[in-house]
Amino acid sequence: MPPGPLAAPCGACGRMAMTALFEFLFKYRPIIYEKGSLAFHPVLPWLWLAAAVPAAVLLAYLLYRRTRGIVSGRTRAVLTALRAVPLLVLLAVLMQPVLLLHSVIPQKSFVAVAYDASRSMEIRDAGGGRSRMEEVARLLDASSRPLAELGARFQLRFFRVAHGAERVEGFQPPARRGNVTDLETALEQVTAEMGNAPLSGILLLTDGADNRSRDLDAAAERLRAKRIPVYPVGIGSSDIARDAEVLRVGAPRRVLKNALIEAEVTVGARGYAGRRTRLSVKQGESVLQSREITLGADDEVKTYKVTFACEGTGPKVFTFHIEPFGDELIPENNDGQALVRVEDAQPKILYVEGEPRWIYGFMRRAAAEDKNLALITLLRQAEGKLYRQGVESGEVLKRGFPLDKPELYRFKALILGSIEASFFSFDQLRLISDFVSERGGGFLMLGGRNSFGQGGYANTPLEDVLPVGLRGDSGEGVAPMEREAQFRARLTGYGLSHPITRIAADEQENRKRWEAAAPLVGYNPTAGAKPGATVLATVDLGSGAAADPVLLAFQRFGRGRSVALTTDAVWRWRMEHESRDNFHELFWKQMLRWLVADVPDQLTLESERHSYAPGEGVTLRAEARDEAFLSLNDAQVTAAVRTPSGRTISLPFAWELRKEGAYAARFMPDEEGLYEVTAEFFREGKKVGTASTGFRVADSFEEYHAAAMNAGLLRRLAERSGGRYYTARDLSHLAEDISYVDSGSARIEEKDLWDMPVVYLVLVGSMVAEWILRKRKGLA
Amino acid sequence: MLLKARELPTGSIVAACAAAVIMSVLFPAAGPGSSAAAPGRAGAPPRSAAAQREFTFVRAVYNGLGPWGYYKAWYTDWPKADRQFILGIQRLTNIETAEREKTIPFTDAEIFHYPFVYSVEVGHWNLSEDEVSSLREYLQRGGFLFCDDFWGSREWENFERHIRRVLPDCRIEDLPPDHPVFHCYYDIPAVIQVPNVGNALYQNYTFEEDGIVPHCRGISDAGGRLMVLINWNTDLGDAWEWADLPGFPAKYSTYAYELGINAIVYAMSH
Repeated sequence: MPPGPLAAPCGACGRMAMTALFEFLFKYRPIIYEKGSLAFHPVLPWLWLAAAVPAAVLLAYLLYRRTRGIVSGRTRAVLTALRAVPLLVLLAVLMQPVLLLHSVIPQKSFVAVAYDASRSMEIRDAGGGRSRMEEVARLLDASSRPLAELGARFQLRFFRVAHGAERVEGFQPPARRGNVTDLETALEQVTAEMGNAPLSGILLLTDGADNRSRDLDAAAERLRAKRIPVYPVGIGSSDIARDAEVLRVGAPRRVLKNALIEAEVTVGARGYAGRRTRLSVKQGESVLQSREITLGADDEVKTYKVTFACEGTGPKVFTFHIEPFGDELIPENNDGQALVRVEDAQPKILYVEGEPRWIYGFMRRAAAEDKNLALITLLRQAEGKLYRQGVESGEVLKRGFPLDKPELYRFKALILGSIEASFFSFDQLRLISDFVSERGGGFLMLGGRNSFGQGGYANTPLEDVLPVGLRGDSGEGVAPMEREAQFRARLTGYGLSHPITRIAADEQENRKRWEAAAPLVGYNPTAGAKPGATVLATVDLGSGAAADPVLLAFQRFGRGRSVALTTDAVWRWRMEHESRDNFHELFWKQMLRWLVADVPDQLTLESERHSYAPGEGVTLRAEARDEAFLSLNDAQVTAAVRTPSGRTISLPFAWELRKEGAYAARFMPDEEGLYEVTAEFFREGKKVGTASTGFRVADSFEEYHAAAMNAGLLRRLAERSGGRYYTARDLSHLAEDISYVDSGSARIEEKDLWDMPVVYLVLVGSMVAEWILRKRKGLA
Repeated sequence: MLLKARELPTGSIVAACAAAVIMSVLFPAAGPGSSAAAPGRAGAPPRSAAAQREFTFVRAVYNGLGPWGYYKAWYTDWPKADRQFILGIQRLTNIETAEREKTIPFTDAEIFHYPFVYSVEVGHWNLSEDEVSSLREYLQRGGFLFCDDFWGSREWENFERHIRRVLPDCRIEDLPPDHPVFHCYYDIPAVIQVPNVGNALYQNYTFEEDGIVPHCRGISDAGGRLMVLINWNTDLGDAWEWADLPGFPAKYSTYAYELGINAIVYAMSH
């Protein structure tokens, strides 16, 4: 929310007072001096005037020379100066100073009158209960004095602006308000529409709530170069006293079926500090989740997390709604929306275990309950004896652990159990590191007698991948696994709300379930979490130690992420909880799903945004990589766009020069509703694969967000374009100000300066001051 | 004590049986909550004796029917069968196994610390309500029950009656030859009948009672996980116990070790 200037009313009055004083003293308003240039028409030759200046000073000196000895030298100097000032002023008057101004020839130039017709203009804060659009209508009414004065000097052309500019005859309220405000595009289109006509400026009546311009400052500079100043008139209030609004919603664009979806809702409020209201998540009319929130102080932005589940697959639109207060000015901005694709996919996870352990079997069982995960496991049952489970065919992992990128990169996550580093070749360890950093895969190491430091992972590529240290400060290894240690898992502040440890959607319920979790036995000591890692849970030994060992932590590594779970005893959350308690199953579901979340596919397709307003163009971007996740720059990509009405439109993609393996296409939707896009990728005539995405075209309430009148933006637009900013109350000099421009059809106008009141004041003032000083010093 | 088959005097057998009958009257089968020493046997190892290891062989202590024909109870073959089997696990796999077995009643909460439990002579179960509910919860949470050494239709009937108290809606099925439990570690082509040591050494038949045909049956949960493995008309425990007896046919011990290890590997991997 743009901060409302609490001192604005006082500031505006002060500026007006200063302007009036300036005009009184200097005869004209400051803008006249800004636009004009100083010139002289001397009544005497310049040489004579140049000689007269030192002569006047000499005369004043000689007149006071005889007072030497009567008054001090300093007093004599002051009296001399005061005597010289009137003489110099007279000389200045004889130089006949004038202000030269370029002034348009009436009716020879044009002014474009553009008024904002976006949705934010419906807000009723323009004073007197009027909406902003009604205020515009009042200002542009034929009987309006500013408009009449403007019309007397210029030929007016009217435009209605929102996303772009539309030429109209006079003020015409639109049948449908614009969903967005793009002043940059609007000004460009106005200028283009006016063509080569002598345009003296653009009068822009708007609230300045621009939400689409890419670089309005640059656009203003271009207008300045063309000598087309912009005169914005700010409509509406820059200080909305009471309003709560959803500023932003952050939600994943894709989730697996039956996932718990976590969204972050950013809320701003004014006038409701400390008040409580409800934040709900809706799908259509169904409320999926609801929680009470406490609003922050004015201009404080708070983010709330809300977790919810939904049924079914495909594109889902969720609305995040804040219950409005009765006296809220803009209830339309209490909603935010997110489009989430729920996919019935089965990302593959590879789990390599070094020995038969209970965690292995119990994790497999938990994963088997989740139909949207494919857990493929490789169990070393004895030396040289590997047992594969979950493989699609006998060929998968036939050679054991993958030896090359295509074989490993088909998985989205990798889990290592109690298996020593020496089981892998160095190339395989490097491959695992690249799997995380380069491919963007998820990685998890479990506790065990052959894990972490005890597994010999120090001084290997995986030491950097792990979010925990394996060596102490002086390089010594960490202690062996504490096999007998009994402890409880204690969540950190991050852990209470992180998706991995989210056993229940409600935060309080989640905390209670974790506090009731069964104790565990055995953990791997580490050298602590790395600086960039986040600790989600610690080992609570109940000893009251200042720093508990790390139990669960993660970090980003390259394009992927890595997790450390330093125990192997989590199966006890199954055997020591009642059979109907699904804590253990949910823990693994959350862990495994988080490991594969956002891990990129070989072929991807996304729209720039998930939601577009009618009339906006949609940019689609595709990326293609081979099995080793190297970018493909020679693919042919074509998409089939399925419209809400069921039509299918073919859309070819072009390779983007600036990014490896990237392709783009632009599409202009002509219907409102949900669009499904499926892209096919070909290489050397053979189909490589497909990728899908979706987006939504709907009336947007974006205009109601950050909708306070943005005086700062409009002032900047005026300054950079060479224009001037006005409010709706001070338009009395608008026509005159616009007249003084060196553009359009202009003439030179002279304004005398010799008769400024300040001249007489200086003249009289210096004579009075000299008389007073003489009397004080006893002179006649 | 190792005795060659021909050295067992008949009179001693009669005397042993008589002693067993007397002892069973004086010292009834262990009831709920008791893991105390069985009469005439060495005391059960203290619970804390086994250091923390991934796998501990646990023998279930249960309420039995008492003397019935030959004396059969939870401690049949214990502790030698257990310890011989443990040696086999340690030698033939890389499963980290505790040196000593544990004996835990079904009703003891400690049983939930061990997802694999062995129960012998299940044809002599006489489970209390507490044992039934505890065993049910154990299996539903993910535990695995290995049943062994019970013979004939009468013992089957008793076992089935009790197991259906534990799992009322369960289906008891003969496991097909391609079931993972027969192939997850060793490949076991067929179910064979392992006789008790006496029959193995001295008789030309391998069955007991009317248990002519050996069966390997199972009960699976709703997800298809085998949670109860039932070895009926066969005696794996004796094969473990007497594997070191030179006269005990190796094929029986081999089968017994293979199936036992397969069951553990299955329980830890499925």
